Amino acid sequence: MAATSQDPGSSAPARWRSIGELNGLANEGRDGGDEFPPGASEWPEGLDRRSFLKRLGASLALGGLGGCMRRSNGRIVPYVIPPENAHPERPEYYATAVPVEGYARGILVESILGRPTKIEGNPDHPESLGATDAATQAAILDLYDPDRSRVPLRAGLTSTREVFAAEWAQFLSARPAGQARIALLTEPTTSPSLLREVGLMLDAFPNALWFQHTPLASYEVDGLQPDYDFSKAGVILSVGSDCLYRHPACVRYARGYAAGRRVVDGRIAASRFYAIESSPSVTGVLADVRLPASPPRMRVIMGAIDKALLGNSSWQAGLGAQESDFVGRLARDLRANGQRALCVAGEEQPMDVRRWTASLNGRLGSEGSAFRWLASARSDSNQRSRGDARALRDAIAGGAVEALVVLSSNPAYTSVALRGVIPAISKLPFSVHLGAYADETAGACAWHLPEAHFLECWGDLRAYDGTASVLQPLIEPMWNGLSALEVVRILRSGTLPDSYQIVRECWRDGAAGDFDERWNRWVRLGVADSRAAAGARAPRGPVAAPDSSTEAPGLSLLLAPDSNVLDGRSANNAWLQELPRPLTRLVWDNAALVSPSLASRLGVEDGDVIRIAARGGLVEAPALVMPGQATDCIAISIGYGRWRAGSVGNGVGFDAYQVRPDDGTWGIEGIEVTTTGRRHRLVTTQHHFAIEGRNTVRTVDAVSLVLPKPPPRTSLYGGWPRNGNAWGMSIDLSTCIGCSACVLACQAENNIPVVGKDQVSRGREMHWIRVDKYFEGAPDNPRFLSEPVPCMQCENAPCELVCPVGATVHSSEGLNDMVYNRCVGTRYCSNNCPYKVRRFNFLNYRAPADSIINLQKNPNVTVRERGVMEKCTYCVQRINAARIDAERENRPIRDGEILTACQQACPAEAIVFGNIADPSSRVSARKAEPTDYSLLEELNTRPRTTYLAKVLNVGETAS
Amino acid sequence: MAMDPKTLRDPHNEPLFKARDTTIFRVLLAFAALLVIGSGTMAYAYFHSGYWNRVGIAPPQPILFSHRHHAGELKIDCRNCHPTVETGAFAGMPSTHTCLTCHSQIFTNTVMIRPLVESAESGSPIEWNRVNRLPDHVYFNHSIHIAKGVACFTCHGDVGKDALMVKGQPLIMRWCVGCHRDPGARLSQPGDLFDALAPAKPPKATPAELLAFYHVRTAVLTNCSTCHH
Repeated sequence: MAATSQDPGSSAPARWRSIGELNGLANEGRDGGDEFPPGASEWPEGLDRRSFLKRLGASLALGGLGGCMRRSNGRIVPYVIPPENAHPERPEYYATAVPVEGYARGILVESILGRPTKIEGNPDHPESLGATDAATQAAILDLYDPDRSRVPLRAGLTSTREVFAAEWAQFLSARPAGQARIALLTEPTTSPSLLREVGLMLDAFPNALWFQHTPLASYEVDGLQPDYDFSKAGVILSVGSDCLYRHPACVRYARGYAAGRRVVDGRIAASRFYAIESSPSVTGVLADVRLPASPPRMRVIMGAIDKALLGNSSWQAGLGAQESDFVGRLARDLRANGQRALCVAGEEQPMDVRRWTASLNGRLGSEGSAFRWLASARSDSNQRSRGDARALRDAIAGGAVEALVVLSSNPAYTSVALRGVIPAISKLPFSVHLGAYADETAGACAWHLPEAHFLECWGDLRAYDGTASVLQPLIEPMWNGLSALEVVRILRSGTLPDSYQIVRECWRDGAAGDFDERWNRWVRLGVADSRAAAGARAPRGPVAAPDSSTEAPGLSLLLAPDSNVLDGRSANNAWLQELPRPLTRLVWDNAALVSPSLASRLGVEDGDVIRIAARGGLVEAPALVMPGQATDCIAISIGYGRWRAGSVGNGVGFDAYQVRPDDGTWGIEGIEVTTTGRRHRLVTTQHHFAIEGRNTVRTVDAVSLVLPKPPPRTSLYGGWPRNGNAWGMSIDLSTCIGCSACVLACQAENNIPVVGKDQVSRGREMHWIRVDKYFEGAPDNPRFLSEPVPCMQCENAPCELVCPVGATVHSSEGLNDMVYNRCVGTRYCSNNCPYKVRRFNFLNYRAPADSIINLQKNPNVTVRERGVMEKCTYCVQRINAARIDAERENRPIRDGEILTACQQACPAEAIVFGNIADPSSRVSARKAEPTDYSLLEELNTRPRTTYLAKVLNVGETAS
Repeated sequence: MAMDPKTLRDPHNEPLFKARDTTIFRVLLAFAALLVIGSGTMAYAYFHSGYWNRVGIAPPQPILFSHRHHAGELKIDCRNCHPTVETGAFAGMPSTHTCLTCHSQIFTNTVMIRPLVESAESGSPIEWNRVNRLPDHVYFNHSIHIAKGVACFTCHGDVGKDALMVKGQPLIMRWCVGCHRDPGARLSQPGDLFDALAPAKPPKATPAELLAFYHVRTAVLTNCSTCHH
């Protein structure tokens, strides 16, 4: 079979990229077996060859004439009074925090000439440790979103803040003092200032009710937050958890997980990872031993695990062979590891499952080491809150609400309960929505106020571990937006306040000593002194295993927050829409994931629209065959099908809230699925830039760590002379969790454009680093292998030899320089690149010159125009900046002084960049590991980027 | 009517070219080649000329500021008004307040510096016409050039001689690369770096000594990505 391959010298199962490929259709998804996807090299629509040549001639003539104009030199406009900062053009970094479902993740924001341009992790913050996840990288784009709400709206018409305040005062004065029946709806928050303001509001208006709504799961179990230390775990059990990818503490968790999977000095004490889940998740597919099971089946297996751990010999009853093998091995390893056994449950699991999973840690002895309870940092179970959106719905229906205030939430879309009472909301005497977009909820409320982005206002938040941060603004509110803090203050006191004063008031309370000194330190570091105490938890009796007696036959539906747009809040973020979903590689869409065997049973294939009826709800969504999906379970992510998201997010995907129960559960059993006969065009990047089935991801066993070494190869070309630095990179596939944070970090750093669904379908996505996905083994439960592929910076670079204009040339430090202003767009280099890492601007993907999005662009990287090839150059602008600093001080560049954007963002520290001419550098040490290998080594391109093989710690089967 | 067969001409039998046509064709071909080569050469020379690149041309300025007076005669150090030249990518242009350091005391009422006074009063900056400009795809950094011994006058000419600021060098890629290929001969001694006039005599140290003194690593200087990224 041409498309599949095997490890040399091993009996590894076949690798494949899709079901069709596995079945021998090597070019499935790529008509005619072309190297590029269909349409990749076609003319743009409406332009035949003849008119193209005409226009080519005309533009050559006009362009030639244009070249004869002497360009204006422009002007220099110095300051009248210079700013404090001596180097306005140099990037400065300010510490603040990004809200992650109400929790904080500490960040440093790069600011150039007053414009925030890039978000990096804050090394001083415990939930960042200097790294970020993909969503944090994308948050900078939201700031410059042209669709952001710009003015207050009253019944959809432009108004002002003053009119709003006056109308509110009128509303209050029409009622006895303090008697207004106000309903306040917020998302659960960790912000001490917001909680204080809400409390003051509730004090001032005794009839006011406060509700909290989030469509996402709570992180609390019985009022406490479970917290994990993966670095202390020898055996990990994940029950439907995706905590390495989508969690307020995911960066810390990924760092800890990576510590247990990294080869250091040729040795590894690898953790063993078991996962049981219904639908593949970024975290679950990392497991050494993974068991897909539908939600009801998972409960049966948990019952068996419980029995096996208790030594009950009847645990195998009712289990299949694969299941009993899984449970047997798991129970053996959990018992053997005791304190080092960590059990983790997903937040979307039913509460009894989460309770039981957490209790296993106490039972096994890991509570206090790998597992701990934290006091709740978020206001989920705040005493003053009157409940969730359902309670608000009942209050509105019962006439207990005269004024509705919705702060930074979009319940008209995300709350199934409130969707039903939107007409009632519109009829309330007063309703106001604060949001960054004039979204679905803005349409339901009488008033809409534009919300300030978190980089535009002061605020505070706590991290998952309780660490408090003060959020500082990087820029004045561009559209005169207000923060939630300020709106609550306006509603309470009628004054137009300042978020700075509100936050300081909150933190001044009860703080002794020099407040200003402490305040300045907190703002500078991004971390405040205050920490929440660890949650003490009274010992409890044993928790019974989840009840599995009601297992119903038939299909079940599993809803999930989307890996990119979450609950729909990031639907208008084009970076996130175009970033391939980590496992499906789908762009600009969501889909109903079905297992290969269910797909053949239903007779559907990718793109066939199916109708899912569940508990009275109905949704139609295109099917996508997902290897590793539990057989009797269909998974679909929420957050799509929005109708007032903005020009990017409107109408993208299918609205799965239509089948969401209003009690917030994620799993529905007993659904009915029918086919509709219609088709929807799904675009995935799974087949793009295929390396034609050659073996690229290597795996090694944790015990032997033996990787067959290729024979040394010689070259007719002499090597490039090495004088000075020699840049190289090492990517550790063993610690890479496949989260795509690197892809977005690169996009933000290098001004990479977004091209849209149609262009992606032609294989024209522009990401300089991509994360390839391979499957290995049986389609119903394959092993997932992911591999980030940036430019390899080959020493014998095939691209350099074929460029007719010398636009890609070798630098003395080993980079394949890409000179945009020389490139004429022959694309020979891309054809000759075996790794397919070059990207071509087929069209003009730049924003219009007057677009506000241009403010995000990195001024140190050229914005490429149409007809120009581009690619990764190890962030050469960062290399140059560091070299200039070092040369000015006449010293060598220090190891670690240059971080590439992908390396800096990586939560797992899987990417290391540095000088391979220095034997003491970190990258040299990584490349000296026994698991180091080069991609397509047989081509003798001598890539500077090499990989560390993925370490598998499968262990022996239970016997 | 009978026709004389000698006057009957059959156009199909007539030779298309005559012997002299070959000569004409050769001459034309030579002219065409000459035209192409000549116009190419002329265009090349023109676009690399100091004229096209505005060398020696002083654009009009809102204030008739004289480098000859300030830098040449008064010997005010370059860094006084261009303060970030040793530390930043941009040399820095003097703010209105920098000028007012002296001109709040001297020549305060002259017509010549009225735009300065107006700028200070209104808070709107003075807009200077740019003299030295690099294309947008060039990333130039002043500080590293100063640190490696490239004096101000090497690129900006004898600013201390000219009353009005003129462009001293063409600032085209060929000119830049000439120095990047062979920097030693263009370096100056540390004491001369901020002189407003090129010294009459070449530096006492040899190019090799200067390269060693400034720790210039020449290998990276001609990488494309050193200036274009």
